[in-house]
Amino acid sequence: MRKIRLLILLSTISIVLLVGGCATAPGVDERERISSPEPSTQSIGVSEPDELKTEKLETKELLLEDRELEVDSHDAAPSADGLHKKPERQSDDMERLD
Amino acid sequence: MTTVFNKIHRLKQQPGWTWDHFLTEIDKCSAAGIDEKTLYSHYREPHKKPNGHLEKLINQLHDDCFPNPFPEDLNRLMRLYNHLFSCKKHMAKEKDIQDLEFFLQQQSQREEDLLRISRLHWLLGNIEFDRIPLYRDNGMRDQLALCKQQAINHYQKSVSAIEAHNQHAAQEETVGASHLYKARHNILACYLNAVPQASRAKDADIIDYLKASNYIAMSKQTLEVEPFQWTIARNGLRFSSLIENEVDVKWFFMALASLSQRFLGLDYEPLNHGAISDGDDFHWAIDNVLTSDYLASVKVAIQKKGNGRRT
Repeated sequence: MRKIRLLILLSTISIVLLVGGCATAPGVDERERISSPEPSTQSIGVSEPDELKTEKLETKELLLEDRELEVDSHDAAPSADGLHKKPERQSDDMERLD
Repeated sequence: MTTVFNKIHRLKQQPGWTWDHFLTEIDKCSAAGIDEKTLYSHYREPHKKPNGHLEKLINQLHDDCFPNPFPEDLNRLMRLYNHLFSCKKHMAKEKDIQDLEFFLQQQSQREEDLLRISRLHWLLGNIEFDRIPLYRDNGMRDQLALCKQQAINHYQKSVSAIEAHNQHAAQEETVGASHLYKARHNILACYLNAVPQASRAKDADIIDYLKASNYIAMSKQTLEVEPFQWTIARNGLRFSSLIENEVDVKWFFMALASLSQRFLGLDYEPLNHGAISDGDDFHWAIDNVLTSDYLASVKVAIQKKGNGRRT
């Protein structure tokens, strides 16, 4: 009885590992294309799944934010050098009027 | 920024503007119109956030009835700057703002028209004003002092240009008192925002300017004409609290509560503003004047006034 339980446990673990391994392995299935930053679906005329579009947008936003940080660090006003804290409007600052 | 709440009140205050007339004017602007209940609830509730459709219609009507006296190209430039400043995704934002600032400085030196000079300096003042929290929060005292002073100088030049314009302009072309009030409000805001909240009550610069500028009296005058300007009443309450003036605290609090009884709850949060109970600047007023007994007496007084009007 113990041997059977052990066998079931081992086979479950191996299935989990197998599935996990497939999901992360490169060049295997649709998942790989979804996680790729530059999928090739457009070039062959296949319409993008919604998930793929969303992920592409998110990736682009992240890239944009990285670039934004880079540019800011080079082009920011000299007086803003060495800032360690983001400027935040205090809860009760007076707003300016136009 | 003038809120939709204020604009609805200002429009409604015009002679002959009954609710029926108001709705007819709205229908002229848009076939979709606005539901009467929606319009009325935005008239009554200072915390209500308007949707895009309502905001667009009210802005359009307001601009038609109360045209802005400043050149439209510079008003649009100011809007562009506001969008640029608030855009989180814009790359090299500070560099672009610096370029715009350079252009504005050049223009303001070449310009001869007083209203254009005024608006250019106003925008230059806004740019410096928006840098104040950055330097304050990072403890950059020298830069903070410089940008605060530059912002004040620009707003002061803007005020002087308006006053010079008004001296020579025909009556219908003069710039109204509300615009002068706004520029002076911005000067006071430079003094206030430059100081971390915990130190404001003891800051000599704020107190000195507050007394010298006659801000409290000007706020009361403005509220006599436009009692719906709750942000002015709220700021009046704030500064009366900072200088520990009980009479003025009561005056401005009554102005708020008369506009909406919701302000009787110190936890009430009007649109884009925190509750009075959360603001450090109001501590003295809350501890010494706005007690629960006092709030209850104000409520009774307002209800009596309301009953008196009905009978």
